[in-house]
Amino acid sequence: MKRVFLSVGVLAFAAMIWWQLQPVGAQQAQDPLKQQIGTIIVTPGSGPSLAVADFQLRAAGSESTLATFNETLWADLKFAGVANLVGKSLYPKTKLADPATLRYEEWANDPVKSDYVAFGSLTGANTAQGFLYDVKTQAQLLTASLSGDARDMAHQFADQITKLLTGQDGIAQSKIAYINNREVQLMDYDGFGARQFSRDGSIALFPALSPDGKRLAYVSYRSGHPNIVIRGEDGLLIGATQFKGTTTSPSVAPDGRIAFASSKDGAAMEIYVAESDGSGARRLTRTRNAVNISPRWNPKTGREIAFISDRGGLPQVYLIDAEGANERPLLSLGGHMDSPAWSPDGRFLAFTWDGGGGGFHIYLADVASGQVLRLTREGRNENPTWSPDSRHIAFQSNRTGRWEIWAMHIDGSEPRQLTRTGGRSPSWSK
Amino acid sequence: MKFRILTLTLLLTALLALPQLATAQSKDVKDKIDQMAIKLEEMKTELTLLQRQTQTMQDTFNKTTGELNTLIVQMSDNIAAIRRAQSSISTNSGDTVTQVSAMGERITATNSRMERLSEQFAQLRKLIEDIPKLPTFTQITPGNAEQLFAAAYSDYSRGNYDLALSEFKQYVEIYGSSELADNAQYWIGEILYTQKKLPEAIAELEKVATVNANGDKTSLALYKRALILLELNRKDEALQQMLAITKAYPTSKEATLATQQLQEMAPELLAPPTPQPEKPPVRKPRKP
Repeated sequence: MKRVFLSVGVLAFAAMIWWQLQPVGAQQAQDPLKQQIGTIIVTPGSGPSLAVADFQLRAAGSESTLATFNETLWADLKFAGVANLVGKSLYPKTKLADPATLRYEEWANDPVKSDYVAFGSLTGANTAQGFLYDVKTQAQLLTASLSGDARDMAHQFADQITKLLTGQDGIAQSKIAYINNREVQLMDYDGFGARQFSRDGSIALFPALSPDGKRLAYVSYRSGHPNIVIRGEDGLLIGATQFKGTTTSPSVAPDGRIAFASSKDGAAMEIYVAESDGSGARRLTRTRNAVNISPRWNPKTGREIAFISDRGGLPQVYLIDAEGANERPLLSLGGHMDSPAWSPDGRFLAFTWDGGGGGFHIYLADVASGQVLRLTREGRNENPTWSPDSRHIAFQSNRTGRWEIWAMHIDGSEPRQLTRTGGRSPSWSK
Repeated sequence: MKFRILTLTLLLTALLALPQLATAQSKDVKDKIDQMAIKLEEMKTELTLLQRQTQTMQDTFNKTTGELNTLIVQMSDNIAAIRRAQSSISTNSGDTVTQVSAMGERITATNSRMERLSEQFAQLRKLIEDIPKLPTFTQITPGNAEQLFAAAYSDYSRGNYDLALSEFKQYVEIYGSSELADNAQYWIGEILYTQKKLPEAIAELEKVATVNANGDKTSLALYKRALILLELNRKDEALQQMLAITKAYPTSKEATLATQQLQEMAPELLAPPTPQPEKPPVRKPRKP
């Protein structure tokens, strides 16, 4: 046995070396950004296929719960973009509720031709059991005991499948903060479950969830001046700034520190960093006759802050580190750039840009190479924010005639409307 | 009477024949024993042969495994050598031609051995290709300085500090005279600072001026060095470093930051020297 392991190990190592020795051109060609982005979302023919059989009822009287569960699970897995979902019209007519009734060949062969099949049953009003099988190797990959309401259970199961197929945490249980009716609102990542978060009774703007989703900073006029307010996920006040000038666009670092823009000294808007409760604000930028706004921490390193400055004449993207040193331009495309948003993996920056005179749209840039890709084309689109898995972007769009929150894949595909009664300034987190 | 005589005769005859019979049976047994002994010997011989064959196979397996391991080490060395050769192409083509030529011979020998393993490798490669696609690391073309720097910075941005560190070090080593070399050296110090390896960070930040004294990262590196000295509670050194920045790079952003720090921590260092009242010349009494 030891020799077998040794041989396999030796072969694997040799394979790795052989891969390294492949022709340079084949292995190291520089792909355009679009091609690189295209590898992140699974598209037809490019990844594993997944069949999602409707869950079955074990307890009577839960038909509406069952319908909600099945619709939510399908929508979650479709938007996750980790596998191609095989259309339900191709599935076998036999109901599939438990492993005993699974006939692998029905799912592995034509017309389904799936790699995996997910199925299960609702065992009670608020409980369910789900399974995931590899129908080609006939291996059980996942068995999940779920509890909660129908949507919660579907989100849990979708996230477990995503985790198993990609190794990354899913986003089905994440949340989005946004502004509507002058207050901060929270909703599930798919637009359901909207609930009011702030109750300041004044004007709330620019909500910013922390990377771990446990606190939220936003601008509030409750003190008479626009200041940053920081609250825990339970809504309790953690702290606030107390400036008399204009203070705006907060961003929360992984360690809780807050970056924001302010004209607190009566001068131009400058970038500041404060402690997690808003105290000890320290000025980072020092410009004359320039506006510096929209600071956004790199959530991966917690060391760098991207922001917008018009010091060169036009609002463009700059970088500065948390100590206020190493200030430098990051993206200079001309035109009007706004609201940069760093992907949680630190690789990309999404931002709003008018393309040098056209309408405002969401763009994506590779931070290291500076390559840029346009993601939206319809209406006016602003304020991008990233999903925790760095594979999706939410933004505000007026394509329906009113500002609403939308979400899409990182490549701009699968846009879907999340709010129906208005929404601006989304912030997406765990 | 006749019957008795006949019986006695038969008995006598039987008694006389018994030794003959016993001798015959004994011979048969002996023959059988001999045959068994021969068979035993043959089996022993076969067993010995089998043992020898097994030993030979074991030796062959060990030898093959050893050769394979040696081959892998050689291939690994070859890859490293190829990369070194590729890297030095841009700086020293003469040496590279020689190196590449030598490498070529070694590669030819290696390739012939590699062919035997190619089929299994293809299977492994297919397995790798079938893994669901996820965001990948930036790929680097050897000899492309800009791409190497971008990849290093990308890895820093994504929190892959160890990888970014090795890439920036590689950049400084290969492209030490390029315009971005001081930037790369700065990032080496910055990454070590991020990793809280403070003494190492100080040492690497000091090298920025050595790489390019007039580069745009020199004052920044010195300022970061001063901040790290503060973290290490080496306050006097830190303040002197900040003071030096204000004098050597007075128009830089770091000079402004250093001045701000000095104003908070040691304003006396920034105070202009107090003019000393001019003393009247002391006249020495003339000697009588």
